[in-house]
Amino acid sequence: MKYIAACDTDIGISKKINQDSVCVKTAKTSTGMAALVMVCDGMGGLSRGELASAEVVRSFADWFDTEFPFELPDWDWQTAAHNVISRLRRLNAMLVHYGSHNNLQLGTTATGIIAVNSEYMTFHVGDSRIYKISDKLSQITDDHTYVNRAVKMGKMTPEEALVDPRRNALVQCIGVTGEVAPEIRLGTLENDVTYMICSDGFRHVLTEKELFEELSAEKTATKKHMQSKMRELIETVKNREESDNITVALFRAEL
Amino acid sequence: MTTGEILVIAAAAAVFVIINIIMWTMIAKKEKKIRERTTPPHDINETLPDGVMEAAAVAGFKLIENTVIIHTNERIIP
Repeated sequence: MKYIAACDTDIGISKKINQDSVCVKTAKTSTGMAALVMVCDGMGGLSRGELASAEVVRSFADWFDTEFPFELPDWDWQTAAHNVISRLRRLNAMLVHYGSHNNLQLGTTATGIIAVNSEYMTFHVGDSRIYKISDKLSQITDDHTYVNRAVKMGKMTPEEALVDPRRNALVQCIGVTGEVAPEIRLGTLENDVTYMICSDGFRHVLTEKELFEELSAEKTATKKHMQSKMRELIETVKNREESDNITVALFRAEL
Repeated sequence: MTTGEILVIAAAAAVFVIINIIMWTMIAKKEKKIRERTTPPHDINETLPDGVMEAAAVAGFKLIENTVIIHTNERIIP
């Protein structure tokens, strides 16, 4: 079994600071392989988005390095899901507290995959996305946006949602709302299936067809190929005048 | 220098010292307040165990890919 993973991020063409953070960690363990791949999009418009996204990524990265190895012998996905939800809620409380006591607004999305051998768990808060790229492209996370909720409740059509001025408004993210309800999914890894995690800045101006064609397993066979494809797409995004920061990570298991 | 002039200089010096004391007291109070506000309380501080090497040794755990990209050195969690 082998894991292949890579990531890339870019400040973009408009912003003065890259508020996104990204983490890709894979490890050989006594029972096989493990990975943590995550993207945090520090909120544009909020004053310290880069601090919020950095704290969340650091927290998970430190967990992977120092606590996760001890948890592996008794690894259980239900417990892992509970622990991830607790961690995200603790981080949310910490950022809300820090923001309110320093008159700052800071928030971030938190979206990632934890994989152990042939199984994985996704965790997600906000409007970053995870796509599964196999013989088709499918989005496996839900956007926690106002318009997406309105569409699901039948109060808005998908077409109206595309042009609604509130289309970027989040119903939850880490560091802003008092409570967060992280979305957790469990699954099994498959051969030739690539998982792509990205900030909204990466996907806004790319079509699903482009994502599917450019990030298929054949075109991202090695880490080097992954890196070159991601950079190519980031340059395309910048040429199309996307104004946000741009971040993407790819992960695939070869079983 | 007359006694009157000496008294004026002494008074000016005293006023200067008093103003300085008041000013630095106010600055110290403000700084203390900022320090208190920027340090999260202990109950939400996260304590992470030290020692990646120790963890690695325990479970035959070996990092292969290790990329963490962040864009600030500032910390909330000390």
